[in-house]
Amino acid sequence: MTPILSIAGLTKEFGEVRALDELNLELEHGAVHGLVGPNGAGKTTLLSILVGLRQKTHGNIQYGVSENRVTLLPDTPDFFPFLTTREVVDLSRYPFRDRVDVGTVDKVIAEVGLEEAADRRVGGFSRGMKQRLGLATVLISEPQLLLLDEPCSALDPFGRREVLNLVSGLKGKTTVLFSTHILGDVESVCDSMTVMNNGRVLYDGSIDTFNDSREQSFEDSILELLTIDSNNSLVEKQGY
Amino acid sequence: MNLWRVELLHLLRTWRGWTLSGVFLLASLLATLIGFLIQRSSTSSFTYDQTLDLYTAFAWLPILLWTGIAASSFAIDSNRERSVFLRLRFSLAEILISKSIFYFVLVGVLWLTGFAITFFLGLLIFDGSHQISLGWFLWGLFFFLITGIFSTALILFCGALFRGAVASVLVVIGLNLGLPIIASLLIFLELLIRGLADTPPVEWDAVSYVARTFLWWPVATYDAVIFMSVTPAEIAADTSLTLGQAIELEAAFRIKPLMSSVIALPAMALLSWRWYAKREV
Repeated sequence: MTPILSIAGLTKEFGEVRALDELNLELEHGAVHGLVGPNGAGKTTLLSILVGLRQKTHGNIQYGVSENRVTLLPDTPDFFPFLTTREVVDLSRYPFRDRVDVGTVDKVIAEVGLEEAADRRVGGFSRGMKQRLGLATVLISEPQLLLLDEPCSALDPFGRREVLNLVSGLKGKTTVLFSTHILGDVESVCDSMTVMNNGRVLYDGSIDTFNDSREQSFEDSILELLTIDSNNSLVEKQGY
Repeated sequence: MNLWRVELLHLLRTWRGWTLSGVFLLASLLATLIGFLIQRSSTSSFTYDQTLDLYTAFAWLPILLWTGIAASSFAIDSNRERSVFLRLRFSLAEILISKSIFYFVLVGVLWLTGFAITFFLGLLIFDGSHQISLGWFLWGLFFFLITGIFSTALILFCGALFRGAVASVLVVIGLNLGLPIIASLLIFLELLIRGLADTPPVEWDAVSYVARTFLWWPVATYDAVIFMSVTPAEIAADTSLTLGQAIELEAAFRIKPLMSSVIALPAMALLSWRWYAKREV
């Protein structure tokens, strides 16, 4: 089966800084794939390039679906403060109005737990509520490839659990590329993952294979991987 | 919900819409009030077409406010998250075309409503025995629409040039407000140096090289809006009396800025499109 996303040799340079360095990645249909790495690893840059918000320096990106079925939820979504929840979700439905009927708006709002705030203006929303609204705005388009950039970063433990349940519920239907700092979330939700540091891929494969090959806990293993890479990079930079 | 409705709600649910309507209405009422005060304090009669000239002059302030509001709206990438929301759902063409048409129509409707209010108030209060010439009215209206199109394009251009809303707003207002001030100062300085300091402003275009150069600035088309209130008496005299100044009734008046508008518009639109499209969010 053709992968839903196939990336080969993707590089992004900001001046002399290489944010992405010959990155390769393939995603299978219906998978929930984690994207793990510290700040500056290149996760957000990768997601931005995938939806066309940034331009790649070189490399190839191929989609196994129509590009209008690919969407991104940024880490701190923000909306027009003078619109209500229902209006924001309906606006998000507008480009897809041929295949998504207006009745879906309330269904999606209920799905993310914002039904009581459906007619409230979003200007007064907390970050957590905006995050939920952000999820509603991407789910309404019924994407086939959903890119989530740290979707739980602003949520309390209950909200986080709900979002993770929502993401888990998408398994098999929608392919999710899920970027996060929270390693536990990756282990509990994702089937596979890519560990990144300094724009390079350190590990790409299934979570089970990763766990089987290591004696430490999942979190400790990833931290060890990142620490070794950072030390190697430092050695390379210093020219030893 | 679509982008047109978003623009409308942006005006109606925030201070912008009401303030803008209020300031246009204020310009209209102020023109009428000043006309009324002039009529009371002088022996000569004050005619309704003169209030229209006053409105044309006072409407600069609401136009500047409109410029600021429109420029901040065109700064679509000043808030990254909202920009991501828009750009991922709508094409750049949909976003920019809806904004351009919306703000052009907005200034047109508000300005003309203010003009109509001034017209009817003037007819009620002042001497309304003259009829304004329809032909000259349409010619003036044409220049008004050209000014509106160019101003919208200038706002679009600055929105493409600067990512931030503040920079874009300041530059657009600076160009609209600052350029005429700088031009006036330079003209005065030139006339002073040439020993022609007592030349009346109405003759500046004919005498001053600086004035002739600045006449190519597209926004100068707004001067021709005075044609919207030309009376048969003015046609007979071949002169339009506007705010105490006699201007020759000449269809080619402000033809230079009209030409530069026509040349600049497609270039500005193309450059704006290119810069908006190339900008990384």
